[in-house]
Amino acid sequence: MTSHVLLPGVVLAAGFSHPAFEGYLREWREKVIADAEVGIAAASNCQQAVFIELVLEGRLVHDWLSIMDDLLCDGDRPLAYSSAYGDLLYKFGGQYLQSTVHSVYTRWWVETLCRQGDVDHCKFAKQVLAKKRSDALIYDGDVSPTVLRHRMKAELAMSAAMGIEILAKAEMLTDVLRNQLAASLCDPQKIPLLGYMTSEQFRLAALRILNYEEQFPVGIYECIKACEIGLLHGWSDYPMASKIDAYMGTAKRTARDKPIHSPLVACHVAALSNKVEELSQRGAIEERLTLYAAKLAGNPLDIPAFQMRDIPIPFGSDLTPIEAVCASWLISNLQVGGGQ
Amino acid sequence: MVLGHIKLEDYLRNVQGRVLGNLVTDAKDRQYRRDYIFEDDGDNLRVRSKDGTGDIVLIPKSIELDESLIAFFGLYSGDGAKGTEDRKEIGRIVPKISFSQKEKHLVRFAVDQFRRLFPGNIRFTFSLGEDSAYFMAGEGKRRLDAYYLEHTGVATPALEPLDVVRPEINDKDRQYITEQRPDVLGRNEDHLAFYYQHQTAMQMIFVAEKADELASVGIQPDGNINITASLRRPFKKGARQPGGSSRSDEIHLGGLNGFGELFLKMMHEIEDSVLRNTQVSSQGLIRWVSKPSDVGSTIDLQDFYSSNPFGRINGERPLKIIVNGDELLGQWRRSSEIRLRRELRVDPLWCYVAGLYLAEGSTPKDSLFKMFRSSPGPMAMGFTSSEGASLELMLRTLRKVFFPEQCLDAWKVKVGSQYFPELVVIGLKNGVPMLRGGGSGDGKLRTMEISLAIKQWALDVADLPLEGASLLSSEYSDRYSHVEPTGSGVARIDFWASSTLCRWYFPLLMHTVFGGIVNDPMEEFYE
Repeated sequence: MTSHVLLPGVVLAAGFSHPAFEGYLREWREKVIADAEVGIAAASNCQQAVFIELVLEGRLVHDWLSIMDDLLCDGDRPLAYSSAYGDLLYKFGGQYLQSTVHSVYTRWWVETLCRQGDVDHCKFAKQVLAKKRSDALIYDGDVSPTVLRHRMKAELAMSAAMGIEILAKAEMLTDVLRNQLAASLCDPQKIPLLGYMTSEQFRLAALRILNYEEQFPVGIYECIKACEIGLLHGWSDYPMASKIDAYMGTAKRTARDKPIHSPLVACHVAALSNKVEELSQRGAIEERLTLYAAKLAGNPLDIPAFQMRDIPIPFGSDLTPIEAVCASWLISNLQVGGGQ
Repeated sequence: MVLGHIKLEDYLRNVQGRVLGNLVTDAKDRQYRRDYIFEDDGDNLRVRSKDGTGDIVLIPKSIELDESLIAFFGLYSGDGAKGTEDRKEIGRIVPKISFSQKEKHLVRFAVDQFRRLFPGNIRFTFSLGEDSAYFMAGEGKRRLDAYYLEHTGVATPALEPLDVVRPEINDKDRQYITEQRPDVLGRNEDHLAFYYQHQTAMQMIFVAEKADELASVGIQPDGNINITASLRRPFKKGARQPGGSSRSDEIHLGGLNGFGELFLKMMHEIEDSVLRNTQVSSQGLIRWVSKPSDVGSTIDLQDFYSSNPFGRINGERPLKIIVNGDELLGQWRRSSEIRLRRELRVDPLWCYVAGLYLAEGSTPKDSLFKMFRSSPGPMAMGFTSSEGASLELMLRTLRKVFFPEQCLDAWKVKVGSQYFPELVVIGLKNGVPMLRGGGSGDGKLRTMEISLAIKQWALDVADLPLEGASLLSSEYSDRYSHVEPTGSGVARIDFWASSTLCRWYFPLLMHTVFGGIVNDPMEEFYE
């Protein structure tokens, strides 16, 4: 059963992909392959292309490992971007040469998928441990020197979840390390409870592997409810009320911002709902999840991008392979009779 | 030189006094409207809001648009207030004419242009706003000490308790006390006490400073000139540390209540007709002498830099300015050689953008005034806007003097912190976390996927006001560099060019705005 930390609850196998996405997914994958032919590759693109093959074909069809070997390695270090991918941004230059927790995880995950028993987990675990900082968190301080306070909490939690998964597989999670990592992950001064769905789900995933799930912060139901505000269906990743202007400390300048729903976020909410103790509350989440899946089934391509205030232009991505996989998963679960 | 006219009487008759317009600023799309009544008064009109509110404004029936007035509208487009939201009607703004500017020569310029536009009795209130945290340390504290020393014989008195300096607090005080600022040391109660204890002293210091500044450019307080200072509670306006500053200098106009809509309409019709290069603006308020790109005097650039008083920097002429076929080759001391066009037509586009750059350009204003007689120091050429029209106008302007490949080095998208959650989600949709650059996180975003996902938004924003493709999307798309997380503000597009351009562009810009009123910038700016 193939799963990925980015897609909680989703079993990456053939059979559930919604037909509305098939053409888009195949085209997207072909583009990644064509780009790789001219040296343009990113770990994130390979990762998503692998997702596509798993949901469309049920197995890996393309030789992604060789692409990663040729374009996304610096010696033993897995890279986030190839040199030619770095050229997509003007004068990004040598900055393409970055080995992030995400790129290590992606390489490890794809290698595990391809080679199964023949993976040197310890090698990857050592690369992860090299990312462990003095504050007992695992993140890319070498790539991004930003102080902890200004780092995105989703990055901290996601890097922790990815790193810890590798460490567990390599059996390098000592008790001391487990305790350290869990304490840091639960320290509200390091990673406060912001109520951001993806961030909290990554924290939960990490704590679960560390066997410290009970330390997950209380109050997640209220956070989930807050992410419903302003949406007819689904959830935003973050409560709009939490958006404040850093200078003024007020919500004045965010009044025109609009939340968007996202199948990816809905999958994270589904995973988080397990931490909601009250059955009626959990039932309410499941009900909304079912309604959202039904809405997606009716109009699967309605996966919006953000909009910058009143400017009617998509601000960033709308549909991506990840969103398509999550939407398909939600719809297929609806059809077999459950929201989750 | 007269390049066109604001045909106010014709316009008001044509629209039967109903002024309606649309305004897009800071990514907010809003409308303004007002019905006016007007009557003849010789060469002027007496205009008033039809609902009976507001002032009766005396304004010429037809206003000549010369270089400086066009530049003034460009300046207002960048630094002027566009209005406040009507609480009773979502999406409507009620414009009020006021202007943010600190640089004293630009203040004088704006005052002169306002007086020219509105020959009746208009009043000016110069208001200096500042975060009172400025007076808690550093230069501000020294000024506070000096004030008390002068007026009481001793330095700043020790801080008194809040209930002594403010026995009865109001709702805003109570709200202030409950607010949390993780970056700020100390108790909110003490900060509030500081504010009330020194409020008068702080105001007096700023009023005196502003009066001196205005006097130095010939603006003396009188019945029509008023100076005020507005101090905000500590750390409320934008200062992050004691001694930090978040100063704003505003000019509020009295005697023009209810006239903001008509004023905005003038500005928009000028900008739109320049952008579309049409002789008559869409509703007939602006009529250029000919097609905008065909009007205006022509400057021989070799002559300009060889003999015009504005063609000097640090008291010197360029090291080299020679004809090389269809172009010029120029070089300033300690600067690089550059290719220039031989002639420049000072058309409405050029004039409007001269004012716009003065307001919105990244170059410090005072260095533009000081450069004629002293070394300007390091200069930079940059422009930031969330509006495609402004970006397009700026790029078109640069291309009137420079060649296309010189006009833009690279561009990026700056995104304020209130939109970081959006950036994070965009990253996750593409499977990656958001990695920031720099110690405080405001450097180049390290996550390429997010930068690439935002690129198309920026190109579409640049194209939005145009019928065809913008210069940014058609010619400079490949120079997109990155997303830059920044302190605050809506997502906006920022481009920059080589600093070599500055020494050629800025003298021309200043000549356009001030050439008609200043003979020798070396003598008349910052003597």
